[in-house]
Amino acid sequence: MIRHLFKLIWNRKGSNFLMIVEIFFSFIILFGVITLGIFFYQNYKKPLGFNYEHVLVLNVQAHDVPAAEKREGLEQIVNRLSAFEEVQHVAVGSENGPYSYNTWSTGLTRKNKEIISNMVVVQHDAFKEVLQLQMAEGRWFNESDAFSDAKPIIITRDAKNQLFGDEPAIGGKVSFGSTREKQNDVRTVIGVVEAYKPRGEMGEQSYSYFLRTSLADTSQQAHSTIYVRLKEGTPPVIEEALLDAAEAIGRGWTFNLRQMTDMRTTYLKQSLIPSSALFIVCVFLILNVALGLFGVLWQSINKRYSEIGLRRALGASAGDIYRQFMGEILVLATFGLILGFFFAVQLPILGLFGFTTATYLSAIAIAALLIYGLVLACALYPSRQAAAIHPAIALHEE
Amino acid sequence: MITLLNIEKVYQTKSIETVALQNVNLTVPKGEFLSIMGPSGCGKSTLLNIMGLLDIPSSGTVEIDGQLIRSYKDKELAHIRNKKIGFVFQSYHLVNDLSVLDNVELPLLYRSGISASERTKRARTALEKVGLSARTKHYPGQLSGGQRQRVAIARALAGEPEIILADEPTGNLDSVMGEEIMQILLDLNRQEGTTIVMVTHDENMALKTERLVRFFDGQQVSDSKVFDLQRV
Amino acid sequence: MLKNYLKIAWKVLLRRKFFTFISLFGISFTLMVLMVVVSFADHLLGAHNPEIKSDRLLYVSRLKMTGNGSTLNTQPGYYFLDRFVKPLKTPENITIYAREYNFNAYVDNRKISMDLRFTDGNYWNVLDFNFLEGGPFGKADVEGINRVAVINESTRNNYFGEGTTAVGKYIEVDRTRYKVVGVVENVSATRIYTYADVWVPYTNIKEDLQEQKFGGSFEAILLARSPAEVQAVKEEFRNAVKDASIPGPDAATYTKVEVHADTLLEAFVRGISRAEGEINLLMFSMWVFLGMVFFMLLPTINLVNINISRIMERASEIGVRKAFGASSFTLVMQFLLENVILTLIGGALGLLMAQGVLKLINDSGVIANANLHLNPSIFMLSFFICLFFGVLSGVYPAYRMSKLPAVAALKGGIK
Repeated sequence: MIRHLFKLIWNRKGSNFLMIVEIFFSFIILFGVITLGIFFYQNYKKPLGFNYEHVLVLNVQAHDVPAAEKREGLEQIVNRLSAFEEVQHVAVGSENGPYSYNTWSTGLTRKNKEIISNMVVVQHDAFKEVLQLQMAEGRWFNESDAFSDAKPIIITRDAKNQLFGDEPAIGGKVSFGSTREKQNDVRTVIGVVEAYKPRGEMGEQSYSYFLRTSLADTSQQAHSTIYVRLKEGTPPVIEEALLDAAEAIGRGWTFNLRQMTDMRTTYLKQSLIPSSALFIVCVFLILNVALGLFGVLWQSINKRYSEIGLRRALGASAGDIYRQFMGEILVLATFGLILGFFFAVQLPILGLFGFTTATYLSAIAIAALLIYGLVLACALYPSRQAAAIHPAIALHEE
Repeated sequence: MITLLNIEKVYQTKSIETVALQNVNLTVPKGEFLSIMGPSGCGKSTLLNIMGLLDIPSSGTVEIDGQLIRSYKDKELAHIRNKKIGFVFQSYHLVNDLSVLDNVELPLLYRSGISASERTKRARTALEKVGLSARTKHYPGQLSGGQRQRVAIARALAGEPEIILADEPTGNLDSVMGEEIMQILLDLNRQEGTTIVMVTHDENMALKTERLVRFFDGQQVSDSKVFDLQRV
Repeated sequence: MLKNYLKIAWKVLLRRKFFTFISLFGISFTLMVLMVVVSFADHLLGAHNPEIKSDRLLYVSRLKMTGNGSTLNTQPGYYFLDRFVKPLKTPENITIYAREYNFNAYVDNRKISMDLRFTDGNYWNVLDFNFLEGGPFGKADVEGINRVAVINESTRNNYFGEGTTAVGKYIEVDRTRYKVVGVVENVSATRIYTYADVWVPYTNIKEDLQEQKFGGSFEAILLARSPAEVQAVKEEFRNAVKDASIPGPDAATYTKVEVHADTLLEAFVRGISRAEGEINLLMFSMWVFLGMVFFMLLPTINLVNINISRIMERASEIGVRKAFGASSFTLVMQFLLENVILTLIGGALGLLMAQGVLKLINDSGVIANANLHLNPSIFMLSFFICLFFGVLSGVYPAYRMSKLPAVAALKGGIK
């Protein structure tokens, strides 16, 4: 019977061609959307690694201020802010904090393995407490690490898995740059952080490493973002008091204070709104195709009235007719999918767009299943109509 | 053998009741070639549909091959149609998108336990019987009317039915082609002993069969052996 | 005759309500999406206040330095613009201003987020802001480092309260008190070169403007004397920066500087494509066109498919018409007209839906001060897209129809 259906569809390819093309394009669209969906979902499933609530981010711009004065001022501001009763922890760190739109990526290598990793520089140990990072192994920085000859580094669990695999990471050596370059800046791993995704919930970046420098160390850059953790339930009015305090120290400097929850909202909005718009448009396109298929299938029953009557006369039961129509649409979909598969499979083969092969393949599978489901849903009612046709009437219709 | 007892068929619409058949009692013995004649709308097609289990009588009983049709469940009727009955129609009713061979195989598709090669073999045999073995790969659109009707007959034969119901099989054909088709049916009846019931408008065709039943307004008005008719 | 056609078309559409619904659904949604995109593009790049003279404006907003394998993408600094843009002769006028900075102000325990832009006095002459109260600050204010500010309507409402006036009052931004001299209509955040909540003289910026470096946080807008002179301005600027040598510590790393005076559209394309050299707008239009075609492809195929079904259903009607002497041409025209009417109805529905979606976007606050709307030119464009869509999706089915042999058509169709 299946062979019979294939033959039937193949012989009708002229009139079925447009439907096959529609199914093909629907598949391509679904494939694209689902690939993105899987990608986002996988990112979303990975732990965020930090707690954005009750965190303030204070950006400091001290333009024409001598470097030494800036270092001193920052240190004073940190001490002054820590003195507030509502403030739990304060730390200076690099500007590329969570939801900041700033990125700072470098290569990180171990033996012949290389990853592109986000680099975070912390200048106070409290950075871990401010963001509530979780240690998976080893330890976090302490004061001595800033000047340590061992050049300590802390990496995220994902980075560790990629670089070290099953080998122990603590005490292991990694270096900056790519495998092709000569490695001179060798670092010793002292700890592994559970997770850290600075680009937020939907962000893909899960490779990060942390370095510890001191504000007092003039050979290192002084960073200018102050991360503050407040006690729970602190009213926003405190922000003004904090700013006043900072201003009192850094006269003429520019301060910009934001709540990390606000930054997160903006960040997510910006990344979710285009995706949602894309999603809605794709759903519309698919719905459009579904309605069209439904209409065309329904219409085609009228055209095949006599064929249905004939098949009934030759011994097909109503169920046989129903199954035949459902089967035909499945075969039709299969033709479209074969065409679509041919194109979709090029992406993993050619390694385009940088998603993993597994992502592509599951997207192909899900898209194919959805298409089958969709066409079956479209064919349900028309097929039932076809099965309900009375053979005696169908055969005498001229 | 087909036995119809007290068959009545009434079409019911909201306001009108149309009686298509009334009090029909008819027995077609095994191996008989029966023709049915009557003006348009006399109920002969309805009768053929009831015999072929495509339609259900309002009252009365149908017996096919000694088996009383008690249940009118769709699946069972479909099974009996498939096994015992072959149909030939005035307008052939071939599936245009299938080749001649595939068309002839159709009834076998609805029969379980027949392999693809067996289907092809039987279809070829059936096509041989109607003299079309050279045209298996053609499509209905490429054939003449007479050839199409021969394909339709081959299709009816492929299932090796005991009964063939033919609804004006020569109605769309010129006389030469009509004769050809008639000859095939006659041979089938004589050589294989297939029971044939044929509805026709053509007196000449009817006279070639063994028995002629006339219908008028849903009722059987005459039933005679052709032999007798010819003597009169 | 045409009236007769219209009548038939209308009847046909009513007769097959389900098919009409499917067609309308597809057409209206497709056109809605197109209209929203077009109106968004217009909002982003069209000639609107304050950039109403956009056909005469050129933007110097990005500066790229390369050398020794390093690349620095930044905004030009004040030093650079002062040296290379200010002396230009061809432009009628030039303004130099800083990018916007975000600040929080605290009023009655409320936090108000404000974007502050540092500008010169020319800014108000090059651009056309609509003043609701007061007026701009001028050259004297800039040179005198006066603490004066122009604010927008929403800042007035947030800071001073709904329905009040602001001129003469003081606003505190970034720890500095500015006297409000003017209030302007809101500018949408999509106008990245002119958008702000508060504008103040650039001399108030806490940055060393004399530092000798090319990079920084300033931009310039050049106003050509006429649209025809835009090329001449570009040319003069290109020559001016051709031999620019990088000063200061950057010279150690970078050897080459690349900077362009772009129109708004070119600047936008440069922003999204990261293209180098002059922008090829033809290529860009081609990509836009391809994208549009790809988006419309599926709805079109769908419509064609439905149309074929609709025609085949009417095969016998067509047969009768042919038998009674209608030529294929008349039938094709009748069908095309029917389809165009359908698309126009769909287009009208799409227009209504687009209005709704745009209002939704405006009200959602996703884009600050967004004021997306449909204007007559978008309407005309949509109308032509509708016609195109209607003819395109009707041509193939009509062709199939014209090929129907009369006899077969009478018998109920071709399989």
